[in-house]
Amino acid sequence: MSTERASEAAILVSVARTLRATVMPAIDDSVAPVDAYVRATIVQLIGIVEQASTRTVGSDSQRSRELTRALDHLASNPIVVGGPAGDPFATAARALVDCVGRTDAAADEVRAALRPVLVAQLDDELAQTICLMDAFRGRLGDA
Amino acid sequence: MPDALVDWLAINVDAAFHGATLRRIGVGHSRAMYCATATSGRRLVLRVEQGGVFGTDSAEECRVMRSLGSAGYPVARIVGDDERGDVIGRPFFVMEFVEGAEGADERDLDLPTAAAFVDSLVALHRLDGRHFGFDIVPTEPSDATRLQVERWHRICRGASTNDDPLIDEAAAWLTHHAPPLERLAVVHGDAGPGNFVHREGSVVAVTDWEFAHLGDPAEDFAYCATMRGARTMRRDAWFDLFAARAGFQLGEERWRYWEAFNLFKGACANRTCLDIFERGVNSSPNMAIIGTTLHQLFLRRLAAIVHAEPHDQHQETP
Repeated sequence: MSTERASEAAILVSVARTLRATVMPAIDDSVAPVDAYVRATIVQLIGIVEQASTRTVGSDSQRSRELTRALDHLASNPIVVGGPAGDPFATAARALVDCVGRTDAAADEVRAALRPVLVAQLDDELAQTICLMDAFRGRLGDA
Repeated sequence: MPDALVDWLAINVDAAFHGATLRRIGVGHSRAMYCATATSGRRLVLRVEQGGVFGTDSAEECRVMRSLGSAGYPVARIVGDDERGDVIGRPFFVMEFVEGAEGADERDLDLPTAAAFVDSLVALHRLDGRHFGFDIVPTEPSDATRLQVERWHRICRGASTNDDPLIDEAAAWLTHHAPPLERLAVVHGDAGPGNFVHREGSVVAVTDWEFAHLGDPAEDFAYCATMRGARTMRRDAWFDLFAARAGFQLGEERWRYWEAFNLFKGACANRTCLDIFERGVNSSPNMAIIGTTLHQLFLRRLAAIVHAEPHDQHQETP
């Protein structure tokens, strides 16, 4: 007996294509009135399945390394130094919270070092998920 | 589920609902909404919790709506509820159907209707809601905004296993810059077009109370102008309407504060959807989209405001 099986990637493609080719024509609003909730849900399902089948693998470890490098540049900063070592995201969060309301050079240095890294990571994530907005609004884009 | 709901309606509300039809209405996210039509023609709306979406619960929403109704505020009359979720596994409540104008786009309003809505918002803010059954009742008005920031931050952290420095920084920034507040108001929390029923230029019911709380009226005005009502008209037009109907004006920095507050609230609320989706509590695809894309969009706009602001304490007065 073969142990080969369909990959998750191929299954995702199958689900998306089948929904588009088989289910969507069956709920064509131009033919008959369709329940808005049903249509919206199917369009959103197609959206998340297509996004899941095309997205690149997010790298948490790469993001941790980026943030660790930014924190390394703050090794002598009095806001960061002496804090508990550990998860760089927790360290960055603590440092940025400690800077709120402060106008001194040390706080400025922390903000300048950490914010661009965090915002760039958020932008990277958004670049991969923004395609879901069309589906969220009920619009089915091209396959 | 529909059979259990219909049976419950027939036993607990009106026997005419025996064998009633049940139809899902709207594509709302925080609650599933069903319209039940009885053999007599009477219509009821059932509002069903969706597994903790947005970190809100229908028990508080139900209490507050009942209090608002008793105070003469226009809300749909609640005729029954199941706070514990015994009937269908999820809490729900039932209210009378309110007939209103239907349009292709619920956010498309004419100016008289928008003005009537602003009037209804002003009336809401004038109510003394300290005994309306809110979960959080600040001892002092000046605590209200801080308590709401803490509430949403707690909800966000509870929905995530990772630290999010941008969220944590924003929470601290919002607390540090919270404007002074002299009088607690009932704040709708999701105010604007699409969340009220209108007929012939009048507001007949304000809906969707799951975000209601005690706080600063500026939150509602900012939310309406910069978020929920942004497709209805330009924010300047909303600001002019608030000034004309409510005498409400804020400086640019204060508007930005409340826009940031609402983005924070939205980012935190949206984050719960990913948690719920991942745990299989609610597997609807909209949960995945709200919990990722919408959360990230709100957070990006929030970071832009927080990172653009001067770091010293605001000195502006309303």
